[in-house]
Amino acid sequence: MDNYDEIRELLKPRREIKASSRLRASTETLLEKRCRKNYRLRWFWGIGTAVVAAAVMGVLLMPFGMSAKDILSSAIKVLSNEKTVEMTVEVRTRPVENFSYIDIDDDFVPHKIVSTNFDSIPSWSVDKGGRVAVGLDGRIYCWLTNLKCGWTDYRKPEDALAGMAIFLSPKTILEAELSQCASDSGASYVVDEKDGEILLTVNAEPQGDFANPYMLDTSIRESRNVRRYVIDAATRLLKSASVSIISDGREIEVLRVSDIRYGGNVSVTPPPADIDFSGEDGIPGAFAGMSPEDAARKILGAFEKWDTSVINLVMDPDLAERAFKPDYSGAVLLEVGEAFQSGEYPGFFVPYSLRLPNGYVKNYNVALRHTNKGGWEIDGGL
Amino acid sequence: MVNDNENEQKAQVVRENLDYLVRFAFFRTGHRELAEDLVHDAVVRFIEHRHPPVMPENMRAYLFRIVYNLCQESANGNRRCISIDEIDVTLDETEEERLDMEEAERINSILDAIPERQAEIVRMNVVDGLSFVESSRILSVPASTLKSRFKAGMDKLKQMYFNK
Repeated sequence: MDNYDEIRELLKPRREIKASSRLRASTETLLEKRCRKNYRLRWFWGIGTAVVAAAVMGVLLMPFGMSAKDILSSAIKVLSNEKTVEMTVEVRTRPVENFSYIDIDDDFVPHKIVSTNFDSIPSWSVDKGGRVAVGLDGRIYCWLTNLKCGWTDYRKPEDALAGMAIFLSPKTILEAELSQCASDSGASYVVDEKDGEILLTVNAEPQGDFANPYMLDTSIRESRNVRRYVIDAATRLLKSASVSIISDGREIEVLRVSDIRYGGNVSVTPPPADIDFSGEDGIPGAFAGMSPEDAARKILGAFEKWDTSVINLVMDPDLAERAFKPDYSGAVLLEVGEAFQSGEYPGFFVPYSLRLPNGYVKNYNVALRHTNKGGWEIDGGL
Repeated sequence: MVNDNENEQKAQVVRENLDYLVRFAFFRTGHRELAEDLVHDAVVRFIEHRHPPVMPENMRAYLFRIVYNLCQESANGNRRCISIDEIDVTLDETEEERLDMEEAERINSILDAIPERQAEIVRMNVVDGLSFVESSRILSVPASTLKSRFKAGMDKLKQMYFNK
């Protein structure tokens, strides 16, 4: 081989060039934001409370004399008479992720929603492509279309859909908004009328305790957000809606409701016959009474030998086998940090360091929360 | 799930290579601030990139490739034109910055003596410390071709400077 030592020596840089502290800091900010933004647990305002609030809003009286509360109330009354609704809700998410998952960097994924209410028996379906949920004949089903596995241990729509439950119908959307008005702090309401449409705009502040800002700006409710509704002035039917969050001074639309059709000849389709649904008992949880750090050590420590006597207690066994085992079986737990809480999430985030079978060391936060039976279950962060 | 993994892997690649990337860009642009701007842009593009997904073993080379392309664009674009404002700015540069720029000029003046395609692989291998395989991924040129260019360039330089 030719000897190029002299040329190499000649070309060798004699000055050490490194990244400045300014670049290092700005890069670190970028990276941290990126990792946080992909972690969503809940994203919506006021789930589960469809109670029409008392006159707490104190909203502006508009030129044509109706307050935002009046408009929402009248629209809800009209919508109560609609027996069937079809609509499309587009959300920045991924087709296979939980219904609560939103990422401002993702593309819009359409959710086809059908709701019927014949004889006061509600049925509904939400299809986002990779994940589908159906409420039919008193039971709720949720399944992953590619893996053909699903769950039926839900008591109410919010258990399967999280914040998406609000979008089962325009009525529930507006009821949630009216309910939120009563409990929201710092929100402002502006109503306008133009071209036969009533435009309602809600500007809201982030909700929750951000002494630890980990969850700030990670969901709609935990961000500054703007919600817009377009209601037909004559019929009071909801025509469209959208939600944007304010991030880094930019307004980013993350959800839009469109293509709302009332009174059509539609019905909710039952789940396909080839879906493997797991039992109705729910996730039992494990390590009741332990601290979140100790529980995280036990749970993540079970990955090394894929100890199903632990894993199947803290997450759905089918999901664990099909979705997590390929990446995590054999992973070695290196370290667990101090647990913390942030935003409105009722559980705990526990920092961890895990060496995956491919050699990569994953440093992240696992989300743990208590099950109904008092044990811990994994809620996210893998 | 897997996508969170990808973000963590990308973050790790960026952190581990940030100094190398700045050096890579600096010896191509000769300007510290410009080099850091280009690296910052590259990091944004790298972490925003979704489709097609980048395999973990290719992430480092992909990131260098983005920086390389941005340096090329910068060299070919309007930044070649130095405005009066930029000239004024250089009068305020520190001694350290001046020495850095002189070092970049020294190396580039040596490499200017050989064809650009040979100079680029010599720069990548000797100045940047990249292997032929990594350089192949960055330049999308077969490693064997790069080795030939490298040898041709180094032989010329050896002849020029050491008359051997």
